[in-house]
Amino acid sequence: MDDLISEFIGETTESLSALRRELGSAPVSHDTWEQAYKLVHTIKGTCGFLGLKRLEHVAGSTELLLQDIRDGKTYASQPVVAVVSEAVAKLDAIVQHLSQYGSEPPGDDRSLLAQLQNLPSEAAPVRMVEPEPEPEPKPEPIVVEVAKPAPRPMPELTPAPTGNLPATREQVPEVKPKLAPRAAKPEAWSQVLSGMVSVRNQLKTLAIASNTNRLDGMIGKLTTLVRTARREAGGADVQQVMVITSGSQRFAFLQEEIAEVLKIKEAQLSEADMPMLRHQGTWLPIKSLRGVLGRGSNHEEPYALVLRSGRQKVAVAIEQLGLLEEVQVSAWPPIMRDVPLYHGATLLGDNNVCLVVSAAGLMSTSGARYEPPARSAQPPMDTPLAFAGDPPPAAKEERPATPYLLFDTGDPTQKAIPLSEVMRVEYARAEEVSGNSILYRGQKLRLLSLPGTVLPSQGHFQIILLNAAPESALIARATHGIVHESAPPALGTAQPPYAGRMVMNGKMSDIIDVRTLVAQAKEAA
Amino acid sequence: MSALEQQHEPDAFITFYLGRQMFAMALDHVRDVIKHTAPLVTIPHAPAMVKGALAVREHVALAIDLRARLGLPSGPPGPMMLVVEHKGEWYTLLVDRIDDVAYYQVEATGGIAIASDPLWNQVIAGIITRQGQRVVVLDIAGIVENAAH
Repeated sequence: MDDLISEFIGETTESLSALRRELGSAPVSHDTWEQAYKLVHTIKGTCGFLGLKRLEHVAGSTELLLQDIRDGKTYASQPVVAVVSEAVAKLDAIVQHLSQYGSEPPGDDRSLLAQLQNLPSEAAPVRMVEPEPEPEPKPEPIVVEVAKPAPRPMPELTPAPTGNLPATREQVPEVKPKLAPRAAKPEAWSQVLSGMVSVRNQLKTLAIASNTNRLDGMIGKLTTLVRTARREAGGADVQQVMVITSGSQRFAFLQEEIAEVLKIKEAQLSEADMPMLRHQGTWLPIKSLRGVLGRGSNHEEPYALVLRSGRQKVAVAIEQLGLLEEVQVSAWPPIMRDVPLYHGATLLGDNNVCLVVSAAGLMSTSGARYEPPARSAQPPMDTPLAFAGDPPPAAKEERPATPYLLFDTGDPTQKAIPLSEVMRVEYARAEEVSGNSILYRGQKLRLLSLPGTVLPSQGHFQIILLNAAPESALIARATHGIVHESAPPALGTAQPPYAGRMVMNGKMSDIIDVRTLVAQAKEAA
Repeated sequence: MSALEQQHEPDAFITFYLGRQMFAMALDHVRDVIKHTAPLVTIPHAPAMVKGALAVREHVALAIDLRARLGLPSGPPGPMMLVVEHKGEWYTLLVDRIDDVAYYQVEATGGIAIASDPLWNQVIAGIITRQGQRVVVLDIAGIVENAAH
């Protein structure tokens, strides 16, 4: 990400000072307004992507005003030019600070944003503002939050009084035509791409916030466009992956290929020659990741990822579940073109190479068969048997770590449930809820909700099916992956149905005591 | 040297050994020379000449056993790594020993058949003379793009 930020600074600094000069010389030409609009639009898109909030907000409001000026909706009177100049000066100052200290300076842009937004179409008297640079050399840098482009709340997205959705929609066709010429310069590509990524992220946020699936198709199309564009540009794509350890090496699976995460039970496996896993009423071939990798089957693989490629599905047995991470997957060079098993590789945060396994590649690659836990009765003497409920073999820590599934319910505090209690996680539609129950695959399940749960009135949410209460479904708004944590012996006093609280994955989380939860639910019923 | 050859400016080459055989490669592709110490991330099902992957300067680089790629008599992969970048992809070529970096006139380019072996024709970019010895210049594109196996 640091590379992206310095690239951004390099691309932006000169254009911004050029624009400041242009705005200083009256009259400002139509071409300048057009260039200003494009520049500010790009800055907004890139900053949204990089998590640079101040720049994103100032650029976003400036962009809308510039759009109106360009389209002739707002007359570029002197006060209007002055406000634009002030905004550009502010952008310039923040970028300068960013290049010196690596972070945006602290500051309040509310008065500027208000000015940008409240300029009426007919230029009413507006306070004259001198463009003043804003050197705020405060040595303590703010941490730039770029690691996780988590969904942001709606208000931040809509600095414009006009409402954001129409504006967002207009940006899509505007970006697309630029994809046509193949000989575009790499810089042009990266700008177009960051614009597209930003639009896609805004759409996603919007879709999540308004709880509607209508945008899903659009987001999907845009995601495909971004992929294609990145491939054409020879760049890498940012993807969500689950990183797991097999042996001493780490492998990743694309989140978009993971249909489900399961713990394998004997009952789900067939006795046929080719091991099959029963899943949603059908039998899926199950492969051992260790087997496919040619690493033998002397380790238990108690978990399975159900992967999909097109309409086909395959289950792959793995030793332990991993965390979701956002990484840039680079495709392999031509020398690897005959190896279908991988999408490519990625560098993890600790600078280690991680191979990204492809679902289609797994389907077409053969390897040692999957040995279900019950059959590998004679492991090598030096390998301790690992049972499904045990901590994962690779996590050789002093304190035993337990895998927890993280999720939220609409309550401000994240929730964590021991993975051993989870049968599976499924999507459900709000429309399928009737009263206190939900129809799930022809079966009526009682809905369990934790205190503070906000059930969406429409759209998708997730349900967690519990081993201890197969007739019930715990409501989750969204799941956030799995962490391995060693819960301390005493977790403090907690209100039932919680066993305690601790920080997991950087967030305070309520740990669910499933026994209490199930007992409470039975009492209520 | 003939008048024809003197039209070219000399180019920088790095010379290195595989066993007792010296090879050369144009320096403009070479990003670094490192000693092969950290264990490579192995890539199951990769072609035999791909010994694994490693992180070099924040890129994923494939480690290529140059001896295997050239079909030379097998031996352990060399302990030195030539880090090369080609078309935005990063590779490290495993070689035995680095000799020198110097400027040379390329004496012949393209279409040289050293032997009747087509494998060599893919990977030879030219010939240079180092201390009276003729040295084959390897073509990075030929090595990493045409790696038939």
